[in-house]
Amino acid sequence: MSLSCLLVDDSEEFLVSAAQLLSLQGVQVVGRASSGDEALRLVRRLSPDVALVDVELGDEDGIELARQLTSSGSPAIVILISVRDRNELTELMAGSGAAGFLRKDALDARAVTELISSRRQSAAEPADGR
Amino acid sequence: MAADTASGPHQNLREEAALRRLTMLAAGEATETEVFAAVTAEASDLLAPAHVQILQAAGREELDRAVARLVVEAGGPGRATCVPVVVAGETWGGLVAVAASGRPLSTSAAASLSDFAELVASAVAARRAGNELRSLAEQQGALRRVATLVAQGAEREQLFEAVAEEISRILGVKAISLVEYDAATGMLTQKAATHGGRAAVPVGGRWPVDSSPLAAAIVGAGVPARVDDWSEAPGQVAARHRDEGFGQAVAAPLVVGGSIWGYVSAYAEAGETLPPGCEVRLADFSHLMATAISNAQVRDELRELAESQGALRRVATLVAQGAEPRAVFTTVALEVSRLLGVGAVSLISYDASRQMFTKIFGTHGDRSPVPDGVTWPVDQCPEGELAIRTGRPARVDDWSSIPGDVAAKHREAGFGQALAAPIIVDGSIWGHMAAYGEAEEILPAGCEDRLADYTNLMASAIANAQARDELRGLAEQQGAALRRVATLVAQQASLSAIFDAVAREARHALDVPRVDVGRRHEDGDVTLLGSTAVSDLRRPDEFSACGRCVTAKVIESARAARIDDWSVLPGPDASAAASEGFSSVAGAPIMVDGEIWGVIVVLADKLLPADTETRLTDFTHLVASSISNVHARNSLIASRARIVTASDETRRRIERNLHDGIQQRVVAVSLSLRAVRAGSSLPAEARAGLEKVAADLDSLLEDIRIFSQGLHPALLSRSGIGPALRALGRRSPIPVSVSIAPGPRLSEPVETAIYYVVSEALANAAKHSRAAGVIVTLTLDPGRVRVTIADDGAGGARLAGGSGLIGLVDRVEALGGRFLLESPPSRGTTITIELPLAPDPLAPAADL
Repeated sequence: MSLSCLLVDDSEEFLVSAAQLLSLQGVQVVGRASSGDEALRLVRRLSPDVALVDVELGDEDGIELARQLTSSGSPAIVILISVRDRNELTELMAGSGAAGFLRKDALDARAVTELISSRRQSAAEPADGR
Repeated sequence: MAADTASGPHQNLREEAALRRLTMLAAGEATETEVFAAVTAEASDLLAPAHVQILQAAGREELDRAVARLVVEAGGPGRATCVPVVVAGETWGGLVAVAASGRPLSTSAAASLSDFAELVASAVAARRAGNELRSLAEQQGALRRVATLVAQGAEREQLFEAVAEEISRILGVKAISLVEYDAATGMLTQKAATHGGRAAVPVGGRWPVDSSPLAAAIVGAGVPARVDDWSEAPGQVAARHRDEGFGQAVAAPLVVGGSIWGYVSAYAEAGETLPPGCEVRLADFSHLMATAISNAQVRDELRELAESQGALRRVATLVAQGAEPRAVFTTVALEVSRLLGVGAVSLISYDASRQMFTKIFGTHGDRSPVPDGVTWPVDQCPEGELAIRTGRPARVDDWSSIPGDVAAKHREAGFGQALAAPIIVDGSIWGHMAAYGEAEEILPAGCEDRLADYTNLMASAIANAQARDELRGLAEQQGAALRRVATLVAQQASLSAIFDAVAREARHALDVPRVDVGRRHEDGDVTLLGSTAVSDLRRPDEFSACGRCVTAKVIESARAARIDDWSVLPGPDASAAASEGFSSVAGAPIMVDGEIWGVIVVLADKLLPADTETRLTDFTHLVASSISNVHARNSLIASRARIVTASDETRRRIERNLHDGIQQRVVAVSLSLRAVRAGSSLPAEARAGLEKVAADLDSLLEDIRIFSQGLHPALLSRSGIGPALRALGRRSPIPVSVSIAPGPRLSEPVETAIYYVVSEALANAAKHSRAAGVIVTLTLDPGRVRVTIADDGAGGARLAGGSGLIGLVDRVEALGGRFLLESPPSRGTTITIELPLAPDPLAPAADL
């Protein structure tokens, strides 16, 4: 069964190339959102396995969106992504409910799958990337 | 911080770096010339190939003319531009950029110039405020030296020479003359000249007042005068002036005893100009010097009398020796009594209104109608009344019809005729000396004149005592008081502390019960800033009614004023004032930048002496220069803070653009490339080529990431200083332990400053220290935050050299903080910074 994925990012170029790469790697990209509202709506409608959420969503806060998504009752697992290094974001992402963090240039299907399975193994514990 | 040098193409970053270097230079020990040279060098470098220069001009018109000339020389409009430098609301000069030949001037040149112009203005203002304080201190020193000479009884020639030399030293002008003016003959006498053989008239030489344009102006108007152009001036003196190579000249009158005694003048070399403000400083100083001359003159008069009139010698000697006035009075009275062979002699002083008389001393013994020290009304002293009315010696023959107790006692004690000669001190009647004949005795004609000889001597004795007191008051009490206040100013004490000190010192120096310092607001309201009686006030932020009345008068006339009589004043304040119990109130304006900034008010329960306003002026000058000083300091701090803030803003913008633009696009390209690699079955050769491009892209991304991190801590504002410092610690190649005291979020400029300091300190530790670990600690004190970055490495770090720390010192100081570097060799490096939590550099100036 292929993984279904929602991409949330305010950069159209990134959405296009990430969708292209993940699709080739066997991930089913079911939707793309460029704002928080759109992301919440698409998660409800499409119930993806995973949502990849940009930390800086234009003027919106991707970490806050992660918090909303994980506490909304949706089973979707959230992974935060950014062009920035994890080092810069560690404290900010604490308590976001996200399963983990990926730097955008390191994005690929295998990395996403690994984060999801480690989250499922320790389902009860929060993983904030610390 | 490494981004500073890496972002060469960014003109605004370069400008900020230049401005920051210049601000530090201006805030330090550099001279004005050095600052100007650095400004022109930096601005020329920034606007290259244009050339930047600083023009100094007397006013906007002169600047415009100079710029117009430059524009023509440069080849027309658009080839040169000028931004005026405005100091204290007046055009001081301008910053001019002239295009290099064959190249147009960049369109942003004027905008860049205006930042530099603001810096030049700040430097000039700061330097001016410092100069004013220094000149006050210098004046006090010079006055003390001259006063010492007077007290030591120096010859007049020696005294004049000293006065001229002190003025020369204070003004920094080589050629100073001291000239005496004889109103009766219209002749001038050169009393001293610091330029010796080059003086147009040798010392002791005389010339008519109308043969010198400077002298004519001074004597005619009685105010400071200036002559710039001597080329057309007629007469020999002006010719000598030109021949000896002198040009511009200024002079200030010396007013002694209410009339022009002479003047002091300063001469510039031909083609040069005298220092700015020369007339004003000459006038300030000449006022103090006039007092010294007056004292010397009084003593000279005494000496002449003593030499010419043997009978008066003992008394004159006493006076010249500075004997107590009471001893002098006694001796005089006894001498006069003996000399004239009269029954009794008494010395009587008047109050300021001349309505009440006080008997100082009399030789009557037990026959006296009025005991010594008693005060009685003028209408019971007919000889005194007559002397006041005529201003001349008077004689009263018949006492039989004079009313009152005193006259009755006079008759009962067996006295007859009375003579009185007025004692005139500084042009007004101080009192009189009276001689009383026995009943029925006719005192010989000419007795009045002989009496008058003695009263002249008495006047000299009194004037001498007063002049001495005045000098002592100025040089000792007030000098010390002003010095103490000036010290506070130099220590950058708060304005309220300075105002309180001014009020306290003025109260002591002027010997009055109360002194208030008031601030005049734009709406015309005056509030109390400092007072010696604040605890007595029900509403300490409000002036007394007396204060309001005299302040209104001061503001209306823009000069010192006094009120001695409340009964003639209209309005509700006047009746309230009358009930406050102060009989005499004087005020003087505190002038800052040509405006009335506030008022100093002294309130007394007796009549204030006539010189109160003059003495107050010394305090208002000091307060005014304190305020100018604080203004200049604040404007410098504010401009430093503005530059730092503007620079942060630019960095944030560039980082943002980098992140949203280039960084995202390169990531997208990198992902697309990986998609190509994943999706196609490519020939091995093409695949290897793609691998190489992918590796290059990764390396490019890493470079951008490092550059962007150095540019601005993008997430600092969201995550706060603690997480940001921990993130820095994780990035460091040396293990870093970070300890952050819990507390509320700090302000953005403070967080940014801390972030940069820690970032740079960690980078330095990694590069140079060979340390095994670094400890970063942030602690909070009341109102302050302290951060230390301590490593256990090699030490020996210095602020100078390429450590990159020097820019951080400026950033910390711009926020009113302190930066401390301790780095003894082989004992590690510790950097400590302390910042106020509310870094509002204008806060202390809020009430200005």
